[in-house]
Amino acid sequence: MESLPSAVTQALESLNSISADRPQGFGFTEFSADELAIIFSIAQIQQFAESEILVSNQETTSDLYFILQGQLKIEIPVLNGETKDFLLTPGTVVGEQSFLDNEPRSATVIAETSCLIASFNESSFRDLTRTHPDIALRIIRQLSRILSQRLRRLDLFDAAELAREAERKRLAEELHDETMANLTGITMELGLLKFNQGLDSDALGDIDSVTNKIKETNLRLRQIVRGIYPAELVNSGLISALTSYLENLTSQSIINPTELKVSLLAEGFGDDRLPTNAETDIYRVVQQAIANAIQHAEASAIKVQVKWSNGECRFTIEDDGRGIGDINRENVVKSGHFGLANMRDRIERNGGSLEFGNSIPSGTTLTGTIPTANRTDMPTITSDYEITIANI
Amino acid sequence: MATTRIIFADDSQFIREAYKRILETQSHFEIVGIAEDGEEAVRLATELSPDVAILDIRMPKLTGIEAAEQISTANAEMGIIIISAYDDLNYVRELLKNGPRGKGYILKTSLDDIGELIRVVEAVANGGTVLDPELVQKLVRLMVSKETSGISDLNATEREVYELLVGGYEDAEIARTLRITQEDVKEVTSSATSKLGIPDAGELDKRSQAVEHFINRFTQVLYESEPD
Repeated sequence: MESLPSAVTQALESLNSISADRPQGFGFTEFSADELAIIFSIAQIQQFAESEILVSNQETTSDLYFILQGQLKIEIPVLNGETKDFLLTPGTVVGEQSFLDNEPRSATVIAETSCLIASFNESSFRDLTRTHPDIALRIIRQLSRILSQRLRRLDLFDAAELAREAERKRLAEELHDETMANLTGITMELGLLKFNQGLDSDALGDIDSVTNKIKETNLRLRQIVRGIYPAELVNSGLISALTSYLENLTSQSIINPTELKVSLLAEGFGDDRLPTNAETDIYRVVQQAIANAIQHAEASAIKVQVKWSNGECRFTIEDDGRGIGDINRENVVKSGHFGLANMRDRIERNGGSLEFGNSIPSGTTLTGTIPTANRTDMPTITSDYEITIANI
Repeated sequence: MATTRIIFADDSQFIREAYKRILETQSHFEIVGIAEDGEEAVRLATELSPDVAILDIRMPKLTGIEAAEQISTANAEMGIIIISAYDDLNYVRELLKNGPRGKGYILKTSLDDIGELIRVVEAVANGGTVLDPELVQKLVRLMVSKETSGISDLNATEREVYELLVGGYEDAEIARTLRITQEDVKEVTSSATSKLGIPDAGELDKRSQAVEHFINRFTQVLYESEPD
């Protein structure tokens, strides 16, 4: 039996009382002292000073790290150079993703305090699989458990997102059915006032002015409600909701830098409806893609096609703008394109996929598919819509 | 003038109160029933056989469109006016699918014009078809954008007259709105209808022919068959 440095033995002893049941927690208690000695004999034990960087985001290393002493800060890039930070403490594991999939690192890891770290590289671990396959397997199981717990949290996050969407829908319905209806009732009563009484022209002008203010308020409220959750998506489905969205692009607060031509071609829908979640997610993705094309890519033409054939719903959004350039299309998060990552999430949670590409000669093309149940009747009707929005 | 018996249905109390006060200003209107949801509207329509049912499109239990379908199936003669916040053409298509006679589709934004609401109730009670002017304009714009529709051949005045015809306006009202004489209205109407290929079936049917032509066209525009 090889002997471990005394600092490691001490650290491992203190880990014995720490539960693995926490984010990134490794189950050291699952291994006997002898087994831990074997595991850590192939590790490289390193001391890091405070603020020293262990791992940089995007680098192509794949070592696996165990924290024996001290704290590490994990910085996950979020939006516009912002990061989501959290601390890991002794008994936890870092870097397991790249260790397992050999993809570039997705976070930066910095020593928050001075640290004692055990690191494993791929080749020493491969040796372990030959000399002690049982131990290697149990390490992999521990790493799988950590990843699996993270997946479960993501599922919960998805469920929370769906709940938020339902809440948005309820809020929009309440605003629409109560507040907006009341405003309409009030304008009707004002109309009645005008119609009924022998008022002078000043009074009539005042009524008109109040009526117009209420109507403007109601229109603004309507735009807001549409943004929160479009009524058409509840009432008549994806294609109506998309058509209505395009029709109302002019009244959106999106600034059009150029004249814009938008077309929508829908096939295979008829009066059939996709599942509610799929409708909502496709709607939001198309909405986001159009907003991106207008705001960021300065497109002058956007073509949306949605086709529901047997077994899948396929959609493409094509623009002639600046394009998304040379991003890592396999991993949009790592390229900092969180809008695109969110769009992909929306489609993937419906079991589908979303691809980004550059259009020819310029611009961006998004293609998504969502699997659907087979249908007995396939409507062959198409609807074709085109709108030109002048420079405003 | 014969009394027009009316029921109306809306889930908003504010709007129900407004309808009541507005319709009560007309001595030839009689409110025979008030419903708060779609099911109650169908029940009142069945029990009371009013001349006109005014239905909000979004109501609990049954939508205005579903209630209209049930009412029309039981009594095809009853006038139905859908009041809607949506200029969604599918709803219009649904409402008119069993024939446009005695049907109205009015947007909520038009409701503050009390004279307009009264006009619509009267027109629908007489078997007329009234589509909200804003909706008609939108549809006509849509048709013009499709080169096949024939409407692009109309000149500006012909288009305005056509829009008003489809909106259920009488010749006198069209003349007043466009500030032309009733003779001009007749002349422009006949040039418009001949350009659109609407058969000359005499004065009485002109309006319903125009509406029918319009509905056929917009249905085509909405749902063009795939060429291949």
